Amino acid sequence: MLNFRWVVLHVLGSIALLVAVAPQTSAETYQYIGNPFTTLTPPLELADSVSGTITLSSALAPNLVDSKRFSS
Amino acid sequence: MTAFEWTDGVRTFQFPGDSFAFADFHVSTDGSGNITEWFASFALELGDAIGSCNDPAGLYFDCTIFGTFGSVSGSVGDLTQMPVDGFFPTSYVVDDPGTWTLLPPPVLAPTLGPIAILVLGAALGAVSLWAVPKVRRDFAIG
Repeated sequence: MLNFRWVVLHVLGSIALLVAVAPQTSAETYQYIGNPFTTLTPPLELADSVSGTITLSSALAPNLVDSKRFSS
Repeated sequence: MTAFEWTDGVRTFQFPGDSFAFADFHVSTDGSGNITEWFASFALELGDAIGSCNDPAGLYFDCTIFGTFGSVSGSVGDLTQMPVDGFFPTSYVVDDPGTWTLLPPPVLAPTLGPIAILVLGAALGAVSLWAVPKVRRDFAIG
């Protein structure tokens, strides 16, 4: 016979495990790759360019217009 | 914005970490959320900056502001200045914007957050409240 007590314990345990191993909310990272400089002065070289990554707390929404994401 | 790393190939600015005189990052997106126009400029001090701007139609951003700083004519793409020997030489590329890509999310190892710890604690507490009395009763009967 199915023991109600153990059914409840199994449900609680399953919920606990699901919460425990669920991936944490991840930020969204955008990568920018620019093109090499065409006009430069040392110490920069022709192969150098602007590049980088920006990490936001959430993905950018569609059709944003001049969205200020950060300013100081 | 929670973090950024921005480089001109020689220097790398980082946030958090570096202290900035100004840091501006503005974007516009298309119907799919892709970055189509942008203004990004980060400076440790005036004349010590790395920036990128793209808005050829001039819809949202005034990319010519880079020209003001760097004596560059036209709509500027990427530009960097750095203090060298008491002046601020400028390097740049115009009318040749780069590309933005949304990186795939990193594979995160399971971690125990505060809520998970609370739930686990509650579950273990329930085990102790329900199972232990039953074991004692079984012993008593046996």
